[in-house]
Amino acid sequence: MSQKTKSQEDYLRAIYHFFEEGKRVRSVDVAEYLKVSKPSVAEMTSSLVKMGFIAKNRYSSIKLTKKGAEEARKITNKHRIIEVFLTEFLKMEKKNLHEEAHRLEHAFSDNVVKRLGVLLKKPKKCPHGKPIMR
Amino acid sequence: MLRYTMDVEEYVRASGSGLELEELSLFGLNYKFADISGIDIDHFPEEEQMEELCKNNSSVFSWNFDRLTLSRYVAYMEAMVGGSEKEYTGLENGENRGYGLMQSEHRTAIAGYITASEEEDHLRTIYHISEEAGEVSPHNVATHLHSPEDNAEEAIENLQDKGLLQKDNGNGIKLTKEGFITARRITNKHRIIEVFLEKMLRLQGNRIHEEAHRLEHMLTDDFVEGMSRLLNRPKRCPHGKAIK
Repeated sequence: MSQKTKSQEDYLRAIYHFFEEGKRVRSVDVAEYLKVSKPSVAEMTSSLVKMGFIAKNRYSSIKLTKKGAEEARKITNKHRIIEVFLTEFLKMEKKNLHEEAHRLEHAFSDNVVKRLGVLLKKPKKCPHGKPIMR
Repeated sequence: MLRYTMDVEEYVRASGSGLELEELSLFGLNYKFADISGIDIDHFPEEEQMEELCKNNSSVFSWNFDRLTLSRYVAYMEAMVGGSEKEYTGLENGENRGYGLMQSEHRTAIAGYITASEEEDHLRTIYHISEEAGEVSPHNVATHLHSPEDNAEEAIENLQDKGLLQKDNGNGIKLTKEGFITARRITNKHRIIEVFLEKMLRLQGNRIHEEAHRLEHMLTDDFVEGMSRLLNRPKRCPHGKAIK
């Protein structure tokens, strides 16, 4: 069983970011969001297609598959729960939140994040007001 | 012996890993360097595919090197040009292991190096030994290392190179002042994380140590400082060891 790499998780979360806002996701948007080059987005999308997380249609927009959407939501929730933890428990300033959570989302196991969620009484929104869905 | 020739750039592209190539210049030679640590080796081409990627007459082989003392590695690499070659042993999926692909105009190599996380583990191991037994010997280090892939000799040599470890008057080794301070900081970090996992997240048994072991390398000092404050500055870890 092959595991997802950190950058694959980042890509899935970036795609989910646009998907959540009901926007069509193009490679160029993902490149801009993650501040990476277009060729590396192209490489990454092809590896995510191979793994069955996304599908590319002929209009060069990226679609999450059911498996991809579930995975991306999991990663996004993880990111947001960590943001809540950083704000409520560690009193971290809002401007550093995203970056810190971005690093931490790869550090915490699913189990630890689940327990963080319990500790925080299952928050419904991240500090930026985005939903944490179950 | 397996012989491969390949182009690092093409290899990285074929892997679909989105890796960035770095340019390294050492001893007047230019290298392309791609750090492949943490990349799932499954995503890299199989051996047969690698052969298809072959371009020139360089070869791929593997040995260990420490990225921070790359010069030694390069000197070795240069000595190997036209000389005998080590067997290509393939990459292993070690969680902590650092791997890099290097290519000069002469050859391409896959090399392992000691990562910062591994170095932290080595320091914490030595701190632990000196806490328990007082005396640190290469044998003690070898038996206490966390990962079966670890090599005590390499670990000790690396720490000595960095000035974190020194020989004592007898046969043993001891942490330098700087080494001791770093080792204590890492150990405290590990133990504070353990307290957090036990007290706040209610983890139990082995899970505590396992999670802490992974987290200690990834959480910043500030973050752990925040945790410590939140926990009212714990004095002991769940296993009863002191937090100083």
